[in-house]
Amino acid sequence: MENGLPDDPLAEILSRVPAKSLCRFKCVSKSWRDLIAGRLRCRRFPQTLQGFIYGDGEAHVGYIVCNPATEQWVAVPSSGWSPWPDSKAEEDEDYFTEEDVLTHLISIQLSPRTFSWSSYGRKVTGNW
Amino acid sequence: MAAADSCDGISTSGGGWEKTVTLVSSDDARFEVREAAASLSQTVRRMIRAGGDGGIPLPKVDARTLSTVLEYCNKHAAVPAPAPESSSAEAAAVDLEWFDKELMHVDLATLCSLIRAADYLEVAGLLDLTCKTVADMIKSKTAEEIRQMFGIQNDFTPEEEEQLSRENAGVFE
Repeated sequence: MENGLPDDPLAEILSRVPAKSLCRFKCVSKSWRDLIAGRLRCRRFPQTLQGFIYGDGEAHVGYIVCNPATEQWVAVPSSGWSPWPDSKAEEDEDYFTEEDVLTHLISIQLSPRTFSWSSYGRKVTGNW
Repeated sequence: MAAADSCDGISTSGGGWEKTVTLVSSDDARFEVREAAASLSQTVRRMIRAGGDGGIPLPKVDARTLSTVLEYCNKHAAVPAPAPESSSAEAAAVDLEWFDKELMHVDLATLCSLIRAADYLEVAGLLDLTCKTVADMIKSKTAEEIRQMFGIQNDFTPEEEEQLSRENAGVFE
């Protein structure tokens, strides 16, 4: 491929295009999508708050995802996974950003302390 | 171009003598370059330190591309360092900017070769320049135009594609 580029230089190029173009370029191919959603995500996208996840500390009760702009909320179905095996967690509010909405709304239950998360599938996005 | 300019030169314009190194492209072309210019490449700098005879082999860069890379290195290494506030510093900066702009008047295939070479040779300034140039070329393109430019296959299923455009529409409209 005459115009093919390895990931590192491609990331260098993509880190220099505006966020809106990047979003469009996710449709180019899976490798471009993964590159943009992966290593370029934190660096390039405005980290604006798009919603937050609320857990009441009782890990088994589950999570509620709220959109502060529309004041809509949805309860996240339980995955059976708990970030705190001993359920001895303090009240915790996690947050996520525009790009998480794009790429990671499939994976709602997350903890900033452990950086672990579990996936529920995309059905949740439809309820917003 | 750079091959001819740099091949015979250990005597400098100041009349002094300067150390040179020989770089060997993937297609066996030999380029004799001032060490100061070649050292703009971190890869070459490491190889110079490691020593060795018979020239430094650069198996990932062909002669045409290496010639342009060395044109860049020769120009950028030649710039003297006058006092920053002097008018000659300003003139040198303008001249360098003009040189860079001219060097980037090439097609995408050449730019991509230069990017691969600058990445492999670790010439930070050239990598920055070429990446900026390509970023400017592509930023207003559609996904399909990008695929055509870079010869990329669309490997999404129609469902995945629809999902992606839905997400994009949701965020930016």
